[in-house]
Amino acid sequence: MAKHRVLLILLILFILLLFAGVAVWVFRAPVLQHGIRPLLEKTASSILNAEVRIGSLVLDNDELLFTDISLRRGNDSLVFSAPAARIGFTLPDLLAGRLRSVHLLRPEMSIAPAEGKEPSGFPANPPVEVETVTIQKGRLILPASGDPIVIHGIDARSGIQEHFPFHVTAFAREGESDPFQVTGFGRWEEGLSLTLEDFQWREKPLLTEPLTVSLPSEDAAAVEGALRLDRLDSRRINEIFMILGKKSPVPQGWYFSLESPFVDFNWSESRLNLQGGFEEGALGTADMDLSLEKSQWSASRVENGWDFSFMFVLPREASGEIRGRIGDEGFNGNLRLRAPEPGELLREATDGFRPVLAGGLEIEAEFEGKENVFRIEGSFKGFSPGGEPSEHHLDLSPLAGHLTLTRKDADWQGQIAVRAGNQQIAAIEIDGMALSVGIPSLSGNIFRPLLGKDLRRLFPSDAEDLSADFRLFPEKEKWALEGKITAGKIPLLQAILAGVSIEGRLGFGEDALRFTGVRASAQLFGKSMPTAALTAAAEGSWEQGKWRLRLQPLVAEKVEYMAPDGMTALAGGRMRLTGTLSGSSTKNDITLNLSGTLRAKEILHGAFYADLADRAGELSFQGTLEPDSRQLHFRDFSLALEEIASLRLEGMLGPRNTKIEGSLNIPELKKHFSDLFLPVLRERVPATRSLKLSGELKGEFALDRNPAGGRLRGTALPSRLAISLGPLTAEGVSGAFPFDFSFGDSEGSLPSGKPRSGTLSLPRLSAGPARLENETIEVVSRPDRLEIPGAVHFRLAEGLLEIKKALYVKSTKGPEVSAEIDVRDIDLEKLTGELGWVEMQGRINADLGEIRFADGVLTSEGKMVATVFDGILLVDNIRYESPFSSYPLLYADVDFSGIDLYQLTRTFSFGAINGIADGFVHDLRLFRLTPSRFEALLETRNEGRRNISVKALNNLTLISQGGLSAALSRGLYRFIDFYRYRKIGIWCALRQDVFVLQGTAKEDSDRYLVYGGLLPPKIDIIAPTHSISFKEMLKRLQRIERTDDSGTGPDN
Amino acid sequence: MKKSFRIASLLALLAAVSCVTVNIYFPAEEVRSAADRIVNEVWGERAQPEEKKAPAQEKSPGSSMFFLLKPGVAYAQQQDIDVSTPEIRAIRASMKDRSSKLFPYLDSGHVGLGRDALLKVRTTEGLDLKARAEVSRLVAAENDDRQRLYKEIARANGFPEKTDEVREIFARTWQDKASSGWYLEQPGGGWRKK
Repeated sequence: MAKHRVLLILLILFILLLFAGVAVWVFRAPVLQHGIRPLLEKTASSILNAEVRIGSLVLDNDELLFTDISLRRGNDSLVFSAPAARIGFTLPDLLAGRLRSVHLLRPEMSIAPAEGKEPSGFPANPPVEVETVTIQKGRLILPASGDPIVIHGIDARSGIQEHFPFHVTAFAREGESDPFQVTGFGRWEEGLSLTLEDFQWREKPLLTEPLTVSLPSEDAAAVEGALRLDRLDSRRINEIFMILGKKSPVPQGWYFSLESPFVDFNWSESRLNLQGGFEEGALGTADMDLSLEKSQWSASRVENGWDFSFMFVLPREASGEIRGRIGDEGFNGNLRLRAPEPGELLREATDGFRPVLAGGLEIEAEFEGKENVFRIEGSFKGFSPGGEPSEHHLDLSPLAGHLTLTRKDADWQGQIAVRAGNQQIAAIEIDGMALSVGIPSLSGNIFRPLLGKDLRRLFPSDAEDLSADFRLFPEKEKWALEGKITAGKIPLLQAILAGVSIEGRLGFGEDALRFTGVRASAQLFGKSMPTAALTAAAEGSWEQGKWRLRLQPLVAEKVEYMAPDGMTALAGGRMRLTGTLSGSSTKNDITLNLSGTLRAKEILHGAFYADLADRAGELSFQGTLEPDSRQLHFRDFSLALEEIASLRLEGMLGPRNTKIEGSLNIPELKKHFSDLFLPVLRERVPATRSLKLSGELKGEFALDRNPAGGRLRGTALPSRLAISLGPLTAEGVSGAFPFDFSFGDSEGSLPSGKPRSGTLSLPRLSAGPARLENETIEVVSRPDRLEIPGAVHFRLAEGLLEIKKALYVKSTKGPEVSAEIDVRDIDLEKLTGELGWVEMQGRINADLGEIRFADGVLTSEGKMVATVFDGILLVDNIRYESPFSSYPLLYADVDFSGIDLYQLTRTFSFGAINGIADGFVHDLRLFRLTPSRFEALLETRNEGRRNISVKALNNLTLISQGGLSAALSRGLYRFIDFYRYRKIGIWCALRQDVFVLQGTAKEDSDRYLVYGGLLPPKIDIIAPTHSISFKEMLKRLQRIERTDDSGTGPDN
Repeated sequence: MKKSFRIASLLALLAAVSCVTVNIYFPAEEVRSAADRIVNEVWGERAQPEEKKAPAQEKSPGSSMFFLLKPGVAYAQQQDIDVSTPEIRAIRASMKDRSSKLFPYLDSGHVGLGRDALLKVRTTEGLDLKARAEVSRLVAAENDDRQRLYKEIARANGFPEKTDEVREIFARTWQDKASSGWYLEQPGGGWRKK
């Protein structure tokens, strides 16, 4: 029974179901539209957390046709619509919860993430499995600033399963013919995960690694994903944005490239967070290329914008960080940059422009950008990166400052204040492309710590009141600088430049700098330095490592110099130089090519003073200055002093060594040269006070100087030279006169060298009565020696004066002159007549042996023999001291024998004495021909006729007594002219101005000057008992009766 | 004992003898007198009259018992000073001729009297270049003459090794006879206006 009841119920249910099925089938359209469609809308809305609407639902065979599908998530964060969709299914699939296919025709989806709100989670598992999903001609609308980005023509094929592949082609903009293609797969496990395995655009893969986007289920942490690219550069970005119809975010003129960039993104804490980085990159413009090393960035979506940070690493251990916020109204933030080697960084960034810097630089600044205005304000500070600073020009480590920069419509404006310590050293104004720099009045030592070794050497650190104003601005696509530098005082070696002003213009060209309109002025003064007013006009250039400065001209006026002792000076000097200075950046050498005039009114050097009467000297110089070695190399140096002399030099002049060859030409010695230079010689050598010169003198010489001494070699070339010096006169001297002398420590120690010889033509030479005519003399020069190897013959009073082996030697003891002099057969009468002396008869022969002059003393080893007054006069031990001074002294010993007193007394009008005398004058010292010491003896021989005239007796009496004897003029004596004597003996001496006279005529007595004859009338002349002064003796000699007494005596 | 006493006596005698030094007599007063004459001649009326000075009292030997304890001094015979040799006369004449040119520079203080009996250029301030050269020439020539004078006085009078003593005497004389307003070099090297 129960069994039947169950069967009945089942039958009824089957019938009901059958009816229901038939009813549904028969009324399937309204059922779908009004029954299934709302149910689907509700279910889909629930699953997708959105409001889902379906226009109509029609069953077509085994497919459902949907029309006017729309999906809208709150705040329009997701809007989807499709005019038509087709879902294929089978009953078994439906019963299994699967669909066979979903085809969307022209779907359009707009995504706009909600502000501050996490997206709703995706279903943890596929709400329904779909074997195939196809999209045809879809559109994807993505929000963007300005117009949204719209992806067109999307054709996609995929599925909805736990694991499904997808393939998408689409166009980035309408009309684009080259679609991009995306291939990947999806995984639906605890949410949806989409992995893009391949992203091809324009036949190039964009992804180096698959891009995965995770859309976790409601209980997952956040939406996240990762993008990895092989390379991303500004060109590709520009292309993408151009295709997207968007303005590229890359500023015009800039570029970048990033290697292996990546982005990780997630949505957590109610905001979208991005984190990215790259392995290396580059950033720059046409003029600058900055390498970027591995860096990272992050961005977080916040209300009305993004918070971002960028921590970057630059070459040379530079690094920095930018933090800020970018929003619809602009961006702002702060920047921190630390560069231990900013100079090298700049060099690498600018590909060669290398400001050689030391020290690091830190910058901390705040920035903001709004519309077209970008502003940055902050401070910078130098630091020492440690270690020894490398070679540099400018050290940044002591510097600090503040900067304010504004960029508006591509123009920069702002100020930079630069400090060193607490002192502001520069104010920089930036106005568009122009940059003005003002340096206030400062002491130069403030800049000293900033400068490198080389610049520190050149920079006037001791300068005072140093200021500058210059402006850097673009001109004809190049840069130019105009400015003025002033300094109150710049010490320069031992001098000071005061009131310094330099202004001009500097143009920057391609690898070239041009200085134009340079005007400089300064006052030069200083202790023991010349003073002058300096002005200069110049222009110059620096091109391909070479510089050149053209002086137009350099003028020094009011040049005055006074040595510290006040005894070397120059007054009224002027100099005007034109020409060029040039050099290269690789060497410090300066090539000089200068010419100009020098003038001076007066010069003083010790006792030498010359009034130059503003005489001009023409100067020309071609050579090189080597500042490092402080050497000056002459290729050609010439100095022509108006009407005086001209000098040409070539060689090298340095502080320790000098090697110069040159020539000197004095066209006329007589006038200006003598006026200027002979006073110097006359002051030094009094014996040259009467020196007169005329004629021409040329010379060629080589000077070699080192710290120990030096050597001067050359040849003097006199032409028609005339010399007049006291009794010495020479005329028409011409020829070549070689010389080779050392000085300093080398003096007298030169190695022997090859002799050089020259000849001097002497048409006429006279030394007092000695004459030489038309003689040619050979002169041989060896180191520190001058020699006249041949004999020089002077005619002297019908005799001969021969000078042989004349030699000048410069030894360590000083100069020495020696010669052998032989005098032969001199007619004494002729000689005394020519000398204007009392005429004497006789002849002179002398072999003076070697005459030697050394240490101011002239000595003779030989003797002079004169046959005079029928006797012999022998002069020995001749010595002449200080011959060239005002106080010459002559020493000699004179011996005589057989002198006929009659001839002697007659010659000197002393009276008349007959007799033969012998004697001497020893220890003779003559000062200017005046005896100052001697001892003399004259004694007659006791043979032959011996008498003496009254006059002679009177004169002898005058000498001995100081007065005449009246006895001889009285009585019988007045009729006697001659008296016989037995002997005349006179000994006298002069010492310490005391004249002692004694008689030696009579034995056993020292008082008889004349010892009378045996027969009367006998006359004796007695010497005084007391000494007299030599001055008194001279007075007595002056009173000697000079009247001639003719006659030879009573026997004649 | 006797032998020791004898040796001691001999040593004492030797010590006493060795204390006696023989000085060559230098006639300082005579040289001073000669210097006075020469300076008077060279400077003429510009030479200041000599200030009266108390003569230095030199004790004669034996005036004190302590004499025996002092080193003995043996005096040579006094000698006259000759300043009239031709050379000295020439030098004096040269210096006298020059003096009128030097007076303006001595009066102005550009030239001063050194402690070494020579002239010195004190300063050249205020002089033009020509005058500087002249003062340099004058001072150099004057000093050449002075050096030669001192040497010649010493030589002519038989004590050539005493040139420095002659110079010292002349140094004092030049300064003593300097006119008021002339500058004199001081021991420390400074200058004092007389």
